[in-house]
Amino acid sequence: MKLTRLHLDGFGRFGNLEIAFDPAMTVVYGPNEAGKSTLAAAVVALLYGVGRKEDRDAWRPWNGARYSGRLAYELADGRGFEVERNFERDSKAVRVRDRNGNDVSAEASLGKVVAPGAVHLGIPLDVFVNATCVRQGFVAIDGARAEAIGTSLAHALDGGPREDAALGALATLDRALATHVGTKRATVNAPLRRLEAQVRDERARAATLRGQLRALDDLRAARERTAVAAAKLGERRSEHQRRTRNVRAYDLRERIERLRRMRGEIAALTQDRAAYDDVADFPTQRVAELQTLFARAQTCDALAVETERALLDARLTPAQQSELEERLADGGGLGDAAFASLQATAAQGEEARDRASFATAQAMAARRDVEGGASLLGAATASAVLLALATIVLTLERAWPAVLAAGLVVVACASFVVTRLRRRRGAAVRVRSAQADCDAAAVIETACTLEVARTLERLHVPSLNELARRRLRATELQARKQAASDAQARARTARANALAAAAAFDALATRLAGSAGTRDQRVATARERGERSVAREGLALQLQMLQVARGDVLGDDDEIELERELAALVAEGAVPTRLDDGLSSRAFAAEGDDLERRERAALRETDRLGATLAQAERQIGDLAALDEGVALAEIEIARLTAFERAILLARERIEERTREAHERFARRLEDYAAATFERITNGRYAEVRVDPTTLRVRVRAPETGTICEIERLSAGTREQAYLLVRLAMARMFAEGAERLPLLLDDPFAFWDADRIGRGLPVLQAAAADSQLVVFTASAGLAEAAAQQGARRIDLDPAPEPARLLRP
Amino acid sequence: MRYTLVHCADIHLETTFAELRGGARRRAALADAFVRAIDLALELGADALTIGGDLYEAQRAGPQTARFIYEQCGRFGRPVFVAPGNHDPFGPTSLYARADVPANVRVFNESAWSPVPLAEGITLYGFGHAPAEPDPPFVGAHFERVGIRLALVHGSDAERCPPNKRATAPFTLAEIARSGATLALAGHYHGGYVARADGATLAYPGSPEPIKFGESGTHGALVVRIEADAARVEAVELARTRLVDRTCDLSGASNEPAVLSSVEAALAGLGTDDFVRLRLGGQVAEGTRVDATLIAERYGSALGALDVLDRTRAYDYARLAHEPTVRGRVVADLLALSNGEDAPLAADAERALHYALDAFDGSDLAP
Repeated sequence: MKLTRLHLDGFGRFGNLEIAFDPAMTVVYGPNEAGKSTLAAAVVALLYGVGRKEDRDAWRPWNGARYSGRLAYELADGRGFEVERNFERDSKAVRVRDRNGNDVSAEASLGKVVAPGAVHLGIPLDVFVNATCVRQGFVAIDGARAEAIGTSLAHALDGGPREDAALGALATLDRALATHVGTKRATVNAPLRRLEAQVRDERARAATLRGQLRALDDLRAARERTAVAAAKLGERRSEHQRRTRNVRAYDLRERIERLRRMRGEIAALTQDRAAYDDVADFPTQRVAELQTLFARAQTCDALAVETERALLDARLTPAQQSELEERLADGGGLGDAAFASLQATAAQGEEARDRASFATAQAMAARRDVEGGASLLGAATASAVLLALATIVLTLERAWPAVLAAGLVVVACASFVVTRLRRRRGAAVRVRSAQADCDAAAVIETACTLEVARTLERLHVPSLNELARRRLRATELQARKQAASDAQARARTARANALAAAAAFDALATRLAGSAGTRDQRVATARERGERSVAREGLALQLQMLQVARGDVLGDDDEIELERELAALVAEGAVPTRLDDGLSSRAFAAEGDDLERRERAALRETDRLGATLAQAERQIGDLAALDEGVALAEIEIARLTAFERAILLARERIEERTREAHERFARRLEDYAAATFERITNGRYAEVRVDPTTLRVRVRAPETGTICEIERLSAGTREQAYLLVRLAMARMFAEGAERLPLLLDDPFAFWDADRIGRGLPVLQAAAADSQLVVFTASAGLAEAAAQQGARRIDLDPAPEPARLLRP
Repeated sequence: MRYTLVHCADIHLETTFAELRGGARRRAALADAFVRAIDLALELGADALTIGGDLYEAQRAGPQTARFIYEQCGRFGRPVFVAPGNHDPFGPTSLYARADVPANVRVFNESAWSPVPLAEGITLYGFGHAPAEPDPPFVGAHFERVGIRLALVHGSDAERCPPNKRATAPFTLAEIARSGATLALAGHYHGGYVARADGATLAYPGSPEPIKFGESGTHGALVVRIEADAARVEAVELARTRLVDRTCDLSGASNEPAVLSSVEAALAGLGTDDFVRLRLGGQVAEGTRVDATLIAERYGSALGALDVLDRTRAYDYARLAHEPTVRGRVVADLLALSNGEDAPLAADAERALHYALDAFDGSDLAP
């Protein structure tokens, strides 16, 4: 693109301004506040619009002129256009016309917006502003500016009609992925995971539902089994009822027969019993009592006779009575104590006699001891004396052995004499003592003998033994007399008892058998009547038992009703049949009850299962809808998964190509800049490095041969380097697309003349590729550029709107 | 002697419809179609009704399905013969094995031919499916009874089996003729037709309502009239719904109204009984919005269901591929992948191309 003409009806300080641009380089010179930046902004605004309202207000004409302008330019393909823009309405009041004045706004539109800058230059506003419009004093690419330029660069490289281009596309893809698929970390908005969870849940529900259907089948089968079982039980119960009726008929028939038989038996028994009616009231139970009384009377009578006979045997004869009286008069009259005392006295006399005899014997023996041994004693005494003398002699003779022998004999003899003398004295004492005892005993014997003799004499009994015999006889006779007395008492008692028993018998016998006949006959009569009474009772008992049995057979029923029932059963087809052998009626009835109970239970169970089945069937959900939901969700999952794959693939390619483009751009930027920079710096810096991401510029220092940061260079050199990079960027943007006009707003404000001299060739070289519009306050630069063929335009420094313009 | 029977098959009660929305209504439509088949039999005073299998889908059928089927069979009152198919095979838990099967329903519960005399000189042979797939039914079959011999079976006409589909219990018209059957009343193919050869006839009634896209043929029931030792088959349409696959070329459309106008034209003449799959194609102008959701919402309410598949292209891929930008490189890459031999990757690349360009465009993306 080459700008050809600019007309401003009103824009900032300018009103009715007309500028014609040189196709290569135009230098717009003016002092500060002359409106250089306003002009640059007007060019941008005509191409891209003023944008936000505050920006629009910033450039509103000071003099109230119409806020509009026109910009004419040519494209590389030779087409020429003029953009007319009313800044009041900005993008809504833009017209683009071709050289023939035709309105071609639609061709220069993006969607509904007429955007001649974006369409004809192929780059968005930010790229244009950051890459080709170098504002006053901002040649350097650093910090936020580098970032802004870098972003714009990326956008420009990445392509696309919108300003966010590749980065925006990546963001859009990420956003779409997060929105429609969900990120791995998303907890709320995760559609894919939610769908997968939904599929899992619905599959589980479908499986549950299928399980319920299977359970229904089981339930239905169970109900059918139960119903079949109930029907079978019903059949068995009906058969049992039929058998029951048959058995009932049989029972009825049997009962009726038995009742009839019993009726006959009862009549016969009643007739038999009438023959015994004479003993109807006979107290049969008293016959035994009568027999007992009879036996008792007999026994008592026999006992009385026997007692009386014993009395006769026990009585004392007259002789014995006389003897008793005689004995009581002699020895028998002595009391037992007196007789015992007499016997003791006699025994004491006997004992005294014996003691006297013994004492006499002892005295005689002691006397013999005293009198015996007198010659031996004399001889011993003499011998002792003699030997004593001999000893003395021998002592004198000093016949010592003889002395010793004689001495020993003397001692022995002396000892013997002494011992003998002592014994004789003791015997004498004993003789005296025995004599005294003998005397005392004789006295006692005498006294006792006298006392016994006196008693015997008084009783006229010759001896004590006779006295004892007589006393014994008297005692014997007295005992017999007493026995006779006792027998007499017993005989009287026995007789009384026999009379009483006979009276009792007679009383009862009179009632049971009358008063005629002997006791034996009366007992026999009573026994016979008793037997008849028992026979009658037996008949009565049989009758009673028959009645009871009939009652049992009949129960609470009526015989006639039973006959009617039997007739009805037979009429219904019942065949009287007795129960099977071994089967009791109770067991048979229990069997019927059991069948009925089981049938009722089976029917209840059938009903219950039916109700459960019906309820369960009502609860069965729509499995088809569930399966369909799963299938649809799976399709949706497949769709989202395919979407995810496509998005990731697109993302991968965009990232890859973006990285490649940036790297390639950086390398080429380095190549572009390096050649010119070497020339400007007189060959000092021949190598320039540009970081593709940050656009940071570095150079190789010739002193060290290493790459160093551009900040280490002088300020002028640094600005030169940045200018070169800017120009290189503009050239590169122009490759393959419309070449961009470069608007340099006083980029060399701080350059000296020497540096301007070195920089100007750079600008000229750049102008060979792209149109250059340099706004400067440097008269030197303006002059030098003009001398090199640039068109110079001087702005009026007056504060009032400039009107001119000198070409 | 005249004998009339109505033959239907492939009602597929309780089937699912994953191809298109509106499944519940289509299931209801299938049930209605079965009712209409019964109505037809009653109206014609048919002597019997035959069902050639797949009356329901066993994996989803429940007590309600059974009640419905037997209620309808009971309503007909006359003999109903069922030859279970591969979707409703006879088994211990199948609906046909229930105790409440009406007395007038006879189910051929074996994978072997069983004869049933319908009338003098007319015999119906039935062949049922069990859960295990049966052998080809007509191989070795010999129908020797005197008169008209009808064969009721569910299986594939092997001569018309679609190339990528597996044949089920297959048979051929020649096998039918060799077996001695006069007329084979079959089920399995949802598009009905009648084929004749060598004196034998094979007749498919088709499903009474269309079930899947691409089912060519009739959808209804067959009325078989037997008179004077000849059986005449007449197809009666019962379907009320249609499955419509429409394509709408949006080439050249440069704005949304133009797109909607084209869609409206494409859907003209369709109504609430039409279940439509609309494929949008062609290259629209760049920036032209094609909103499938909007189209489905806008026109779907007047149809049974509407699914919109957007296959439009809003860009000139070939031109963009030469653009010296990242976008151009990306388009070139994805275009190359989409033309590659790896089909899944090509499909992904085609979609990725669409999404990438929309993303560069700043448009909102949707699957």
